[in-house]
Amino acid sequence: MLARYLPLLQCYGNIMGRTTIIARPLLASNFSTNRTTSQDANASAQSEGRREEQDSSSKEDDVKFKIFNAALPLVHQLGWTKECLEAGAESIGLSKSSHGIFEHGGTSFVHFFHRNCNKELRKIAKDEQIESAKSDELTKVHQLLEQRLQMILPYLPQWPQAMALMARPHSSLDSYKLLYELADDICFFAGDRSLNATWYTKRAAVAGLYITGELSLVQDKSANCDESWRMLARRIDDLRKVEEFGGSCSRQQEILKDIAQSSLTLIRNLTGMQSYQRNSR
Amino acid sequence: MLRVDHAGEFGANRIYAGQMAVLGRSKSAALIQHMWDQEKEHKKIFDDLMVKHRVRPTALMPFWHIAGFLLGAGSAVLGEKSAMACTVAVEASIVEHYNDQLRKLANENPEKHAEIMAAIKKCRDEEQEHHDTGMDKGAEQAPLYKAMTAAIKVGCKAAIALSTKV
Repeated sequence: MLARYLPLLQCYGNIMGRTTIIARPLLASNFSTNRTTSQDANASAQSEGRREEQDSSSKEDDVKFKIFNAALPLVHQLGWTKECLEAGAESIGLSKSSHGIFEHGGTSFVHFFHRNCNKELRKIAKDEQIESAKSDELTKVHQLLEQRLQMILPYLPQWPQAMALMARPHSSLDSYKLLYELADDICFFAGDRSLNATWYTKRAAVAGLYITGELSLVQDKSANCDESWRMLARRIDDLRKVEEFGGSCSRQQEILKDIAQSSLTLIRNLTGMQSYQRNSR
Repeated sequence: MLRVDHAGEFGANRIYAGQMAVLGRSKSAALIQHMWDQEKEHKKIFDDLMVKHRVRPTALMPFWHIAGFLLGAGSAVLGEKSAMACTVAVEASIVEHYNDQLRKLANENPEKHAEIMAAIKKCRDEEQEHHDTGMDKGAEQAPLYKAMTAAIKVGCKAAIALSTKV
């Protein structure tokens, strides 16, 4: 049925002078169930190691980015919704229905925001050469986390809505992927090069810290959200203590081994087995 | 793909560690130590590739840590020839696996994957060497040679399938 309106859409597109740009995403969003943008395809299909390659954009991404940028300032009045995207598209001269490039309306809006923030974070990490800085890993994690959390500060009043959109079942898979990417990026740029179980524990810890930070910011009433930053610093200190404890545990393991060996020798001495062994040699 | 190779080299390291733990003072000790050192080099190569391509390591690492050691120690306890038989079986599976990967990479895009292909080729050639050394040292005379090698090969196939996904 929609096919009947296709020529009409194409005419409209012609009038606006942007046929291919509008018609293709509209078609895609109406007919295909697959993700339309190359960036999405990259993220889900190919391996994790190609995130830096994804950061280069395609034509569709450019349009998406333009609409996104135009809609962001309007989030305060219109929230993370389809209406906000419509208003954004209109403000830069595109048709109102080109909000359809964001497949799921508000949810896609928030996803794109997160993906953009992650991209910004990678850029900051590379520009400030955080990897080669002298501070220890946890300090870098703290630094990167703070910067990432600060990116949501301008939209804090509407952030609960964004979080609710991300938590919905049909978008929770994508939210999980974005969180995984974020945790992986932060750990990588903080200098983590582990390739065993600690790979998992570190990323889980960072993801947990991010979520805690987000939740804390949302209900923070203090000036400049100082309470949240202090809480984050305390969590990082906790992690540092856990690391030290882990290190001291392995040292204690050595001591325990020595104690076990000497008690065995003691028992052998007491039971006379030691001299038996010595004599039989 | 790098994940399973990394896990494989890690497992091989643990197997040789297990064999050394039992046979550390026998006449095969020097040989096993030499093969173990080569496996350590292989693992280092894959470590670097993993970090470069930001690949997630397999979640089963702790499991392979223990299982590899047990396999090595277990086969060594049965005797030196059994240890060689275990080596032969494992290396045969790994060589087959590497050849499959090389074929796949060559079909996709040889230029793009040149570095990974070179690494896999080097490791495959040395694993083949280990296999031949094992055969020379009398692996086939180990008791229950056929049953043991079959069982180990099946185990390796399962491990490879698991580590690719998990």
